[in-house]
Amino acid sequence: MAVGSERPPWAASGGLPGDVGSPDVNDIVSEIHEDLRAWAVAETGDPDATIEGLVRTSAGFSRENWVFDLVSGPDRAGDRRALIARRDPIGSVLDTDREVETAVLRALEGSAVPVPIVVWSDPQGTRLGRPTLVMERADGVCDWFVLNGDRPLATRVAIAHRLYDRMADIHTFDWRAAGLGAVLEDPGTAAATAAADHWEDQLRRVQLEPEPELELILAWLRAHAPTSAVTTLVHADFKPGNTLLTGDDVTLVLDWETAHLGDPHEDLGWVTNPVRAGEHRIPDAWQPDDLLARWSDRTGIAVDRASVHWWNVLANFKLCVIVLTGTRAFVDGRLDRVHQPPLALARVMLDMIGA
Amino acid sequence: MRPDVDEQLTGIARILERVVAPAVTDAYAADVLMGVTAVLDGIANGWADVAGFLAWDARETLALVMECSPTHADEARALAAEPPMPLDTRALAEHHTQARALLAQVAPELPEGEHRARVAAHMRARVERYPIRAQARMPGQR
Repeated sequence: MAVGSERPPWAASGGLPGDVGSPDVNDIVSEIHEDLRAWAVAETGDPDATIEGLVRTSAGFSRENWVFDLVSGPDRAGDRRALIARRDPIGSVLDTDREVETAVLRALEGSAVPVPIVVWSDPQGTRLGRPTLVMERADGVCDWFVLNGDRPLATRVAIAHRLYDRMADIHTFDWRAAGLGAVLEDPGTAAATAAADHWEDQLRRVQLEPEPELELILAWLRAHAPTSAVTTLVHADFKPGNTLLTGDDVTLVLDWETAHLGDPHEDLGWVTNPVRAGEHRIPDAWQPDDLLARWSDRTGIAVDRASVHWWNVLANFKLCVIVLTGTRAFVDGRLDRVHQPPLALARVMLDMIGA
Repeated sequence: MRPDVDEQLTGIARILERVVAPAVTDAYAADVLMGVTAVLDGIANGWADVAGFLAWDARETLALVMECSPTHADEARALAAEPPMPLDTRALAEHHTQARALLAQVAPELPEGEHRARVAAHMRARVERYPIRAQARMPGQR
């Protein structure tokens, strides 16, 4: 084959859906304000419903977060509710489904896993132009590095227990009884292969150039994919930065946009990924062995170390694809952030597979 | 040529950081601006090494393909025989992409062993020599 005689997969043409330029910020705020008010009126039946304090926060790369208060009644004399609208961005580091997220959140309401309360859901994007969930805005602090913050060691270890117990509770949640089998696909014993397929599909969709390192890693992932012994709900982005703390209690688990059915080792591989040690570990006090042992005790599921290792590698492959998704969106003019190539992650994965 | 490219990029990053950033009150815009400034710094520090990196990486990559893959050796040899002009950065980038495309086909087919180890060693070496670095945050990390 002569070089360039066939269209390589990384040369897939065209931007992604929703490719538009960036309008003026003030126009956007005004537009969102009006659209939210109309949505509130339609949902509540209150013609006097008003939106106050609407602000876009900087938090979140995969979603636009708009916080506001919904005030009801004539002359704003009624109830005030603190809400947050999470709208799909034009460009994102992730492409996910709001209908599925809504179903997962509503299924988990009242369970052992504390989740945001969905107030309104618009998966089709008819209200704000793009798919949006409006949720109750909860009090609490989001602290990515709480396990290595200023609290005394014993307190941080106790927080770690609470954090990863919540993750274990996700894995023991009875998704079948909750009806999630109707909206989520059960990959059965092939969760690892399904994950490799999914992230390879994502890679092919977004890559702008050849990625030999990722091709090598992908071949290893395919050759060593484990089978799963059990199917559970998987959060897929569990971390302190996706929880809210009230005092030292974990009061909310956030960001369910990538939740799916699969192997719980996927979450174990994500939280024991050495690249994320600063978020998930406490030196000499809370290490992967501690986490895995506690998780196994709480869930009653045996830990397969080889599987955890495979999912560690997959976690970094996934992070690479997420970075490349952001790069594609930036180059297409749909994302306001620049990511450099995920070279360091490639090096970590080469070490992990012993290449 | 003054201000040269280094001076202009570094100066723009400084202006954004000292003049523009304090006046930006919107949280999202301020966060984006911080990222933009970091990237400008990274480009200022590394842009001059880009052409050299592309030429080196393509040369090493093609040599590896010739060594490790009888199937793709002729293609690699043909590419290596016609290197682009060293000051034509766009041609260097295209040549580099073609070399990397060959390695992308070869790398996943290599069994564990010496060839794969040599390819992996080059992959590590290019991480060290990659010219543009910016203060990186994990996606979603605030």
